[in-house]
Amino acid sequence: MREEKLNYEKINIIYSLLYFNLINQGEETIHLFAIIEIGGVPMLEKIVLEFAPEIAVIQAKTQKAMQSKAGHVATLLSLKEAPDDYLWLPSLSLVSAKTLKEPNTKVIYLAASMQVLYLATRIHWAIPEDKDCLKLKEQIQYPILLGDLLYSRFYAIICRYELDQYLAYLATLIGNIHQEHVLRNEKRKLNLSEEPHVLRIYSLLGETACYLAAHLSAGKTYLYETIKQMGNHLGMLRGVWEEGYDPYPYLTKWYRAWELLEVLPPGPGRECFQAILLGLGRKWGLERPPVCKDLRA
Amino acid sequence: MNHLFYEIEGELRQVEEYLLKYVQAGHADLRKSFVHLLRAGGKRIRPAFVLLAAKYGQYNSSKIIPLAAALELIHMATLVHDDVIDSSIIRRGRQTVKAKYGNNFSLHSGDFLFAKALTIIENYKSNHINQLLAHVSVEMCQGELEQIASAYKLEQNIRNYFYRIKRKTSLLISASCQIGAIAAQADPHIVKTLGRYGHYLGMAFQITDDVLDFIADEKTLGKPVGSDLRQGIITLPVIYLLNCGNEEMKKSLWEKLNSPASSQDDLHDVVELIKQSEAIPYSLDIAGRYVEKALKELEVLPANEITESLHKLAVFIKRRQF
Repeated sequence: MREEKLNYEKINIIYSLLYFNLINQGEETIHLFAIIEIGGVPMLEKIVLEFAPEIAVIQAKTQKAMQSKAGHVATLLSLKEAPDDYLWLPSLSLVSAKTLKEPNTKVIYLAASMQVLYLATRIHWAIPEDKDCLKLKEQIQYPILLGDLLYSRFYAIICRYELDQYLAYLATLIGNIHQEHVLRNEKRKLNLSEEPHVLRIYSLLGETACYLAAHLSAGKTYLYETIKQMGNHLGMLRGVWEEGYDPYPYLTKWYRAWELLEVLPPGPGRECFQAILLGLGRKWGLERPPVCKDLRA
Repeated sequence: MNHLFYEIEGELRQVEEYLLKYVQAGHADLRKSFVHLLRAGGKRIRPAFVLLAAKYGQYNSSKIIPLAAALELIHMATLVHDDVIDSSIIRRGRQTVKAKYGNNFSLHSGDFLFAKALTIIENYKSNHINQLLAHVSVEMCQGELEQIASAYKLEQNIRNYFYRIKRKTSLLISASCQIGAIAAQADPHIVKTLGRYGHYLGMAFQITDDVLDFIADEKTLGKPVGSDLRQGIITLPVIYLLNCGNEEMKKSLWEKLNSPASSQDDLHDVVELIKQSEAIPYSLDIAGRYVEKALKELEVLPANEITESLHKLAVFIKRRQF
């Protein structure tokens, strides 16, 4: 119920801002602000410092993906939370690549495409049911089309930057995400816990962002799998944090991620993974497991 | 219109079987909704164009059928989302997925269908096909955004209308014609010609569709007459009357259409006004001119049974009543 209410609020914000801009700027430059309330605690400061140029490219690409034809409906993403926070998914791609070698151009565009895909998913995720509410129809039209536009732009980025080799993998990811949404809605109707399906979506996203970036960086095969598992755990933990779930049942994932960290080669990539884990731990009042070394020492 | 596709009748049946088999994967409700969508029928013109266009190259039916099905999946995905956007309850005479399962489900099932289409297309390992379809997908969304941004706006001109219908319909039909030929490795010159043919025919198809929205009966349309108008979508017959009708007619139209809160009676009056005006023959004439352009493109294609089929299809679109 809490989430349902939140979703309505999000849609209302989208509508109010759209309405505001229609009045104030005329038809020539209409701006659609999609506000996605994801959270407020920055946990990726280290990554922002480490990858400033790469993140600038991803942000520019995301902004471009949100824009429609000039003179028609220009769309712009305005995100409430700190940029380092809303870019958690592409950050995972950058960190994964850096664990093996310097992120190349393809990794940056893969990370940008993951961000565009993530935003499309979040926007469609937030669309409420109407139940004969006519006004809602007007409120949901733009967000639905914005989500569709982002999925199309995601496809365009993949093709343009010759990442087609991952199209099947990414298309399967999209299919699985939406199947999980259907299952989640079904559980909700039955008053059962939807948590496993929500977290599955986060873990699938995290896993894919990490695995494909590692694959593009052509590291050793056993490391792909380690990084993939790391992404799975971090994605799930991110979901726990973002959705405000009780972390206790998922702490094993946090500890397991520390174990995986030990397998990764030392360097800035591994340090960034450690920073993410420490950030999450701080949020939940956890300390670094005593068996794990402090990589910054 | 099946008689027009006798060249590819068997393959179209296989496309249908492929779609039915393909959508069996996934959650039970998703499966049911896809079967519901498939059973609602449809003209299947996009897969038909893929199949016919492929016959200009090295035709291999087992290779081309999945691609034809993928194009229909993309089209189905857009229909499912359109019904949520328009709050449509009926399509093709049947309950829409939105009406049956709700907004959330429809959105996820549309996205799921799009993802399934991409999975099929990926098998062709063709950057050319991917680039083309990605471009078309982006433009289709731009067209939809433009359509809702211009809803209830009566100051539109024909250029705005053409911009919208090109993106709404013509680009995907044009892409269907091209990718069939690309996948069959047809001559690039043929690919381009088929692309233009598809574009002109798509424009004619949409204009005719918009005219039928006023003049066909509800049973034939499978949805209420004047549905576009009820959604605030200003189509060619309305644009014509607003620009070229007599002053009294223009004034009456402005008064009746200038608000989303127009009554059902007002809309009914507008539909009647348009039916009796010059707007219908004018719009059909424009559609006819696009068909002529499409037919002109066919002149440079090899004179064979396939070109003959494409010719018949164009003529059918000019005369269609459903």
